Amino acid sequence: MFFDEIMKEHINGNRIHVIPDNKIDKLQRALGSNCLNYMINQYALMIYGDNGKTTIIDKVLQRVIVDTLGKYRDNIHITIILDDDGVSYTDLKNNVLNKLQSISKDKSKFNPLSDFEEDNGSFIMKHPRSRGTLIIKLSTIPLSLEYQVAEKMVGVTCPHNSGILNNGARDALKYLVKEYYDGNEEKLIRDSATQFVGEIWVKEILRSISFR
Amino acid sequence: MDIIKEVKIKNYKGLEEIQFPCRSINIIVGPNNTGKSSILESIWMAISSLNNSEDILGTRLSDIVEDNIKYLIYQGKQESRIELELENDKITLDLLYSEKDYPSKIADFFLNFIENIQITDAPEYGSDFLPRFEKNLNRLRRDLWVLKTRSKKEESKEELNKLLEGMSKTLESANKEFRNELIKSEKLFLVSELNNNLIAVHLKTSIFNGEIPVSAMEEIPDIQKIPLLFSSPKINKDISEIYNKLVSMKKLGEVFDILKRRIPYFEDIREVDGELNVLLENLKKPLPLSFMGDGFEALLKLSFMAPLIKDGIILFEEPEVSMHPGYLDVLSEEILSSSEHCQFFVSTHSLELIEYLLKKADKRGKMDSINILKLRRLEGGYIDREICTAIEAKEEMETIKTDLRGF
Repeated sequence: MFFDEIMKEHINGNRIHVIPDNKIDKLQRALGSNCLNYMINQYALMIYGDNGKTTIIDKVLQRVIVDTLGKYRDNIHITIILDDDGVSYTDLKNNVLNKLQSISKDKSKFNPLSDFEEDNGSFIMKHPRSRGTLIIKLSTIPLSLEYQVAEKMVGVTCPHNSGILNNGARDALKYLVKEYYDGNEEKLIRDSATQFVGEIWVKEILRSISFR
Repeated sequence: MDIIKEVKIKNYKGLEEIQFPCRSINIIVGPNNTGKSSILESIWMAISSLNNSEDILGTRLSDIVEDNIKYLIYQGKQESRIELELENDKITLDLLYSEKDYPSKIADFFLNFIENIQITDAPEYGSDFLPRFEKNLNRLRRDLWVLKTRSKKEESKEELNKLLEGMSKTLESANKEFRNELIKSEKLFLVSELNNNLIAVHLKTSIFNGEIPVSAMEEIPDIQKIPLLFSSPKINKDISEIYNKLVSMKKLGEVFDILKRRIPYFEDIREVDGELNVLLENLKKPLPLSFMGDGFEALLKLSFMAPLIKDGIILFEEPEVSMHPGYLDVLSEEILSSSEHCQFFVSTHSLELIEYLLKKADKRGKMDSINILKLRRLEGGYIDREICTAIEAKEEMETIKTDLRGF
């Protein structure tokens, strides 16, 4: 919801197709449809989930790469957005790099193997028979999206009560939803999106996804 | 049982190049026109080439592949190669296409064959082009008639010899024309080798209905023929034929036990007056099989097939056709049990069948026996493949709900 709102606000004219990370069959159906070209040109696709980085990197990213590389001759840009949870950007990038390297060396996925290189902070995977390129980038959110939203909205709605963050971002959000949003969590999250306009990490993500 | 360890296919139909390792059960999935049938056909052709291009139910090459031989080879190419790696052996089948003339690789065999073939052999090969030689044949018929009537009279030996000489010339001219037609015709040669030793050269031409042996090597003692069977909606094998085969192989009891265990209401099946009759629980009289649903008949057919093969290979093309998911459960059980003594290649669009197989394999600790080969059509029509182990597939299905049929 947060990124849906952010992208709506900042990427003019883009329609966003959102898929949860535990329903990848929806993505596969889209890739298999006759109007794939139209969809790629008209829509941004977002896969989200809170099932952890392992699911996103090991399962979702691998499936997205294997199912998209070669399907479309032009470049496809993929941005992976992860909570950093206090881990350095370099370490997270290495995790992604290791996974991408292993996919590119995995003969069970592509035969002949896909070409892989790193260029200017992006990872580039090329289909072995020049049938399309994936450009993959990593963006991170300091600590976690949950924390960022909770902290920002505590500042907006009850700056005098910042102590509620001490019990953790999740509890703080629950409190805010109950006290200020009549139990409507979606409204809180969508409202919060407008508060992050100047944030560096948001700018970085927007720069990355608006490049497509 | 994994008889074939690896399959490599080059330039066959829509498959430009594909290679994959095999396990006991190989599930082949993918959208339409991604080469699932082509893979099954390739395996069938290569294995059956050890047995004069015929399988255990008498299915022949012409039942499997289209008559339009030009399209058997990948667009614009002249050669296709299918390689099967077995435990200690390697089977290679080359398909050599020639619009006219013949490929140099098999020139010696073909010229030798041409030299020896007679127009009188043509009907044996199911040729439908004899009418083209009507003129020559009519002359021969007339001469024969004359010969017959004159030989009864007392004609001079000289005149009879003259007539025979004339007939011989006519025959020679017909043979010449026939051979020229054969040389000029569109041809596909199937050259099979075992461990680089030539096994046979078969010819499929636009002027013969079936395929014909151009050169069959003398029995090579080392050749272990691999029992093979292909079940496909395209091949219409009568179930009675398979039933009779079971009877002759004394396997009927074995199949009944399996069917009774898996279909609770099934009692018996018998042949009465040339028709199969099924006895079900609570029925006083057996019912003709033709009264049962298509799904039941399909299940029976597939259940009959597996026991026919020991230490062999079974190819199932879309076995789920007409089957209720309940029968798919029975079928998956059958595949898993039979995989102890034979190897399966199953092409399917049925997610249920895949899920049943994975679930049962997991329960029995046999996940290692399954491979999923996912085919996909890429930009420009190139067909690529992905190989998933059963463990990987199950994990993906559970965590991110991947559709294992691929798209």
